Amino acid sequence: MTTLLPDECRSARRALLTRADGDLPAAEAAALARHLAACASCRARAESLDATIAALRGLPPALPFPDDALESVWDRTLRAAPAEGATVVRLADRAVDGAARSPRRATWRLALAAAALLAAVLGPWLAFRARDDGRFAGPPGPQPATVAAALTPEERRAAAELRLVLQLTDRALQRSQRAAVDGVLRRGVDPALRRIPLLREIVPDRPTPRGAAVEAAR
Amino acid sequence: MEAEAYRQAVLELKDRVFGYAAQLLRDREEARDVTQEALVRLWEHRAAVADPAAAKPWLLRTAHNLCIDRLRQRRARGTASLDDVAEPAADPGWSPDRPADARALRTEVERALGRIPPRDRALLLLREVHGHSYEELAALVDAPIGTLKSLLHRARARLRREVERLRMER
Repeated sequence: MTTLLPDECRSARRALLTRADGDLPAAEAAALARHLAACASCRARAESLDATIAALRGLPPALPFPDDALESVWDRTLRAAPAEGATVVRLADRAVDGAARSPRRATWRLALAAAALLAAVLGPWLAFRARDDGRFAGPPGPQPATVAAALTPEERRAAAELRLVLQLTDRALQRSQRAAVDGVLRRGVDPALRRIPLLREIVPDRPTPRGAAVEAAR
Repeated sequence: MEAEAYRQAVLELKDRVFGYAAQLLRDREEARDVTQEALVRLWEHRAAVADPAAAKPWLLRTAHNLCIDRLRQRRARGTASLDDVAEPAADPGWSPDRPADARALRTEVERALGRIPPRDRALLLLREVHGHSYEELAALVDAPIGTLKSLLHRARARLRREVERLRMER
């Protein structure tokens, strides 16, 4: 057996590190084994290195990410996405503005908006609710008192969005009705009242909306 | 990447990203912030990470870079040592079935990890704990594979030396 010199100890220690990579050539591995058999110092180093690397490889690659931190991630991503919620609000606002500008078109515009709003909210919500991911598993038909407590944060958010949609739609309808009544008064009732001398002075001047002005100009 | 794919990727990878950040930063609060930031950035860049399979390397690279930024900020503030933080990174109860001597060695390795330079620590964690290939690591540290192997050799040698020092200090 060949006895390695201290220079060869240095070579052996480099070989130990290469061996840790798993790509030490067979001939060098054999030479290293021979050296370790003969050199107590290098053998101790090899044992220390192997044990250290083995312990390192036994460390857990994952640690449980805290639930509240994950909730914060959902708040900043999926829940904040310009998807259902924001679309719903934009559609509702557009419906309100449209009703105020053009009373004639308010009915079909509102109907269209309401349908879009309900589809935008209820579709994904129902699909989400029906997805079988285990969290929603349970007996069908929960009691009303238990529904609110059983809702997930996503469901509560969807419900809140639905409430907002209904409020905005109600506002749009009220504005539309008011605009329609104003139009009837302006075009039919007010001119008739102004023909009566006693009432001429007390009939109010009603502001003419943009749509009515265009029609009057025709 | 669609919303559902994003949700699945987060659920699958959050613990791994958090584990890496905690081991590298040696501070769970900072690791929590970094993990949150990386997960949010994945959402913001979901168009660029179209393939869900690319989410894992993308997330680890992002978390790694965020950790390095944090370590540089620490160094600039001079408020904490980079290499000698006492908090163990791993959950102490993660493997109760191991023999006592193996647990002691693992504890020493965890402490020794905190005493080597962050770049060495990152390389060892990514290679030995998270099982990344040399190619993935080379891309991460932007170095040729030969250089990367030299860096890993040095990191292993430093870790072994620190473990021995800790034993001497006992």
